[in-house]
Amino acid sequence: MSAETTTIGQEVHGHDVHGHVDTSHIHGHGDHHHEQTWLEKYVFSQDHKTIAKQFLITGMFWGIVGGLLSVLFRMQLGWPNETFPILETFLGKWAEGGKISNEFYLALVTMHGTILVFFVLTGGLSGTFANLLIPYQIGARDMASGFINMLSYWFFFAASVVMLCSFFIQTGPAAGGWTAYPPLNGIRDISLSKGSGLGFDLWVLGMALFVVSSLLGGLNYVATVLNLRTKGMTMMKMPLTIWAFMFTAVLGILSFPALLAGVVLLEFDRLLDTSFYLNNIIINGHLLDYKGGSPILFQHLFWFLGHPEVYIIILPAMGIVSEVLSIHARKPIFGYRAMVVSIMAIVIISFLVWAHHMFVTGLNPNLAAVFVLFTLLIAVPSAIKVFNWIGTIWKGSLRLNPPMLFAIGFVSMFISGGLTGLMLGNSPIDIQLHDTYFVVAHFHIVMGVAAFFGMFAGVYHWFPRFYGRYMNDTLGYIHFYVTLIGGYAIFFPMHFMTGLPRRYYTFANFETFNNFNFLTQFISVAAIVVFLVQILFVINFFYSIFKGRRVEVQSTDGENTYGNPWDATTLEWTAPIERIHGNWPNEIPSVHRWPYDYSVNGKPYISQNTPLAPGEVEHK
Amino acid sequence: MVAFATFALIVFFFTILVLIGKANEQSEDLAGKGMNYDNKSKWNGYFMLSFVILFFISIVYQVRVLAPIMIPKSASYHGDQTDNLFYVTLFFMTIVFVLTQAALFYFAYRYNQGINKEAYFYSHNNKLEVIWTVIPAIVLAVLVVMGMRVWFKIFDQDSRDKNAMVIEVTAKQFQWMARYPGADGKFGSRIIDKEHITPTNELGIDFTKAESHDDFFADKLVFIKNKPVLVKLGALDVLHSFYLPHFRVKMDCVPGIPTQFYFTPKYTTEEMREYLKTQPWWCTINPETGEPRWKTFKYELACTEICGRSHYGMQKEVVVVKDEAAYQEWAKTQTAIYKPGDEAQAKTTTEAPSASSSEAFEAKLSTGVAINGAKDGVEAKLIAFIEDASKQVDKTTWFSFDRITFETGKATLKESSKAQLQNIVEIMKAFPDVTLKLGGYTDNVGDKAANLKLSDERAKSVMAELVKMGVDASRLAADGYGEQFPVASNDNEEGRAKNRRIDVRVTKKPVPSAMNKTKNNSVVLAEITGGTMHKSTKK
Repeated sequence: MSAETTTIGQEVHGHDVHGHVDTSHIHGHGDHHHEQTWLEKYVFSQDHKTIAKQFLITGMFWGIVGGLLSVLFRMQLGWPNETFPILETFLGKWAEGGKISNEFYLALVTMHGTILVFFVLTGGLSGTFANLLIPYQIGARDMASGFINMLSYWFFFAASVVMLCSFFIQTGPAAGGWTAYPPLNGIRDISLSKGSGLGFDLWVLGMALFVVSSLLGGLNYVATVLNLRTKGMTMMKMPLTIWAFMFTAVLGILSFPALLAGVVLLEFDRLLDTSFYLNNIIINGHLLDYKGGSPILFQHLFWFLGHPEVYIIILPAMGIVSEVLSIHARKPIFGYRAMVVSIMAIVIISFLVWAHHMFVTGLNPNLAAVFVLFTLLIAVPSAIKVFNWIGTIWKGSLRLNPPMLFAIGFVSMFISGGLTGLMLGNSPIDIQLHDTYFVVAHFHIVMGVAAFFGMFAGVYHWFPRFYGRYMNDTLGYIHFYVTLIGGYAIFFPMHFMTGLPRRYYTFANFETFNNFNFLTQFISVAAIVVFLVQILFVINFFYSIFKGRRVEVQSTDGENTYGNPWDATTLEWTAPIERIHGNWPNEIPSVHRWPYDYSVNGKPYISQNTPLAPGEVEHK
Repeated sequence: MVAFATFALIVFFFTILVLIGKANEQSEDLAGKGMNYDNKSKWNGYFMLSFVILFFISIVYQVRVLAPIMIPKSASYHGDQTDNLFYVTLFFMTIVFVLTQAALFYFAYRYNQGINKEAYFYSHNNKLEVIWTVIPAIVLAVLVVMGMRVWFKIFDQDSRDKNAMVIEVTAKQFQWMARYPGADGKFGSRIIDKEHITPTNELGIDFTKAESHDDFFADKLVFIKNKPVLVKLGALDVLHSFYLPHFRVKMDCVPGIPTQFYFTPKYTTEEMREYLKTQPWWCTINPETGEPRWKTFKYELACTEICGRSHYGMQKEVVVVKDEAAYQEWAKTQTAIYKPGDEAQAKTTTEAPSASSSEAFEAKLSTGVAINGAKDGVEAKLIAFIEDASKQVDKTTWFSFDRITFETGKATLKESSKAQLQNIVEIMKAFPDVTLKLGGYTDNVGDKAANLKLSDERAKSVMAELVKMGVDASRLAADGYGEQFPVASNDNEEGRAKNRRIDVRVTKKPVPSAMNKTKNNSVVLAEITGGTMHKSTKK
């Protein structure tokens, strides 16, 4: 125990000293010693590493909340005739008699979607790893603007607070689906749906703050990657993580404004009685005054973000997985250039596929044809990436530790979920499958579970970079296998529910749909188990911060210690194990080679900052 | 208590796991193995290999167990084609799925560092990249072409049968309103404005048009085998989606924007049951009904766009009958939307101006209040009757109201009726000794008893309104007479419209002597100024 305390003390000390040294070096503050207050260091920090931790831990909080919501509605789906008195204890009127109300059920699915898509897999995933890795891997002291970076987190935090508050108001949180389609969400009338009252206003406010956070973050990431690369770090020498984060940011910058405009106009309809999305609405036999708008217009605006959004989620995971697979296979990533080009292709095409979410809205059939074409076309770069990942582990020497297993699991999930996209993307097949459990299975596997696998791979892999310690392997293995098997147990059988509509509170009203009672129960059990094992991951995370196995010190310069826990080539491991302000105590390393020199020239790996040996040809 | 015990158990379980994790770590450290993954990789290699084998086995098992309980074969012609496309895609998918998953997990096993110490530096192969770019591209192109052929067939408006059965389905929270055009095969048109759309006529059907009179709301959707159906879709309040799972039909219902879907049913409900008889799962007993499942099989309509709390309850039965005759038999059992009197409300809105454009009448009562009406309206007649001392009160002198309308099929007065009733109130104030009786009447369409009841309710509702406006209830009486005492022929619509009415009869009026007095000091009956007043203008 005492040893632990000392270590932490030393860390803080080291941090201080180098913070000082660094400031004088980099920011040209001369001898002026700027003592950081506790608040500046840990709360309103402008340091990318602290901000990354803030994003990660906020994301984990939301992950638990979002997962818990799914456990609640899975309980309703699995045991529609049972009551759980404990629910009434905690949820009160939302679960009278221990049974979740139908209104609250929709609030649960709505908030589950919103939280996981935006707050966990966008904010938590991209926010964490872009922040941690961009400065470290391109060899920069910090982000282009630490202040804007800090704002990005605090807008995210404010968005989180607003979203969380919406659970505690009388009419409850938004309940009209995470897609927020009007008119259900476009009229401020709680007789349509309780969630269409104040809950939805808070949803819009929360999303607006979130979009601001995302834009501030995204602009910073792009600016940093383009401007702050260290000497020798040409674009084609960047690790695939950086390519992925940069293009994720580009996607976000171009698409989030459409969502912001969309939801602001929606609020105009709700509060100012404009008619952007409403026309000839008749409620209880009364024609409302809205005239000339189109509910479909909102769907276009929403999905103009909404589809790139799924790539905003999956691209960082892809980047992380490319990196992790290569490092732990002790082999270069297969087809680096093809990987970069396919990311670019995905980014471009992802802007041309949005209406495949709208094949059955009455869209012009000719228009649908264009979107089918691009939707299936986007499978080509995705396929290239899959083949390259498999090519990467072929004939490697695979270190099957938790990050590597999660990376392999990611590829498996991405294949399983991606393939069904070929069916959904083909409009005639989509007629039957649209808004059924088949879709639920598809997108949960391909961008839910897969993105989580990518995130876990990243957390296990870069935990030593965050905290100078490892996460516990045994718990990691348990986490991996239960999540892999459980993830498939939840979502694979859903593919057989090709007719079952989504967002149904119970299937008892339909003879056609009530054949799956046993299966829904099975899925619910699997979901609860998978949820619990994520708690185990969180325990492992916090436990390891304090008690995890320490990274071996390989060298020291007297003040700082250095270690490279995974024998990786990238620059983040050339920085001291202690996380110091400015990242490197002395000069920033310069780069001489591409990031994938593994098992080459008789060496297990050659760091990017190692100059080419005499006669060595640079890898192109 | 159970919850607490569960919670305690989970905490206990987690604690154990964490301890095991820590113990493992320490024993590794003691053995000096630290971060050496040779052994662990070997074990995990076996696990990964077992996983993929078990995964494949479980998929085969799932197909065997779950495929039979999926929605059965398609019951429409285009559904066969989309299903076919599904299976073609599935074929390609399965190949890719099995190969890539097998390779992925096999490599994880085969090349784990416990078995394979040396990695092989192999950074790229452009030929390979081209191959695995071009082959998927070709397969995808094939799928796109196949898909679009089916797609354009489904939505090709030119090739559609002009004699297709047309059904209008309008969705609202949380039900389906399926309107059939009735015997004439024509829908009554709809007018979307505040006059036509009322709680009793949410679609705004224009009942002044005769085509609307045989339209009916169906208790279930009925299609005819092999007869194409064009479903015209709409929604009133929020988005809904029209989903016929067995027919592979789905189309959103959007408020303010019409959509449609055209398809041809292939199997009758009976035929589908016959087919399901041959399917083992469908022959098992349904514990709820105690009968084989196929016996109670039915087609259903569901909503697939989130529409609020009871989204999951928007069910409607669908039946496919074998021929036109069976359809007609069912259609006969359906009741028309139109109720006698329904067009009256529309009439007032569309024709009221013309009614009052007959010569206008304006009277100044002794109370100083001026009232307006038509020269042949009920006010003028009533005043004339009261004032004319030669006219005796009897039981046969009735005057018909000309500006009173009700909600369709209900006794609720429409707001527009108030003006005329206000006139009656003023007249009764001016003639404090007068008492009145109100009579309600209908035409002869529909059930007699129901008509009688409605007429009674309507008369009483007028009386109630007058009382509310300040007339002493003891001066009024009201009765319903149903179909009796028609004032015009019930054989044509014009006559029927006239028969659906409220009449008023004077039951007591001042004796002539008193009348004179009244005339002198309280009634300054204005000269009927009909004709001098400009024709009432349309508002």
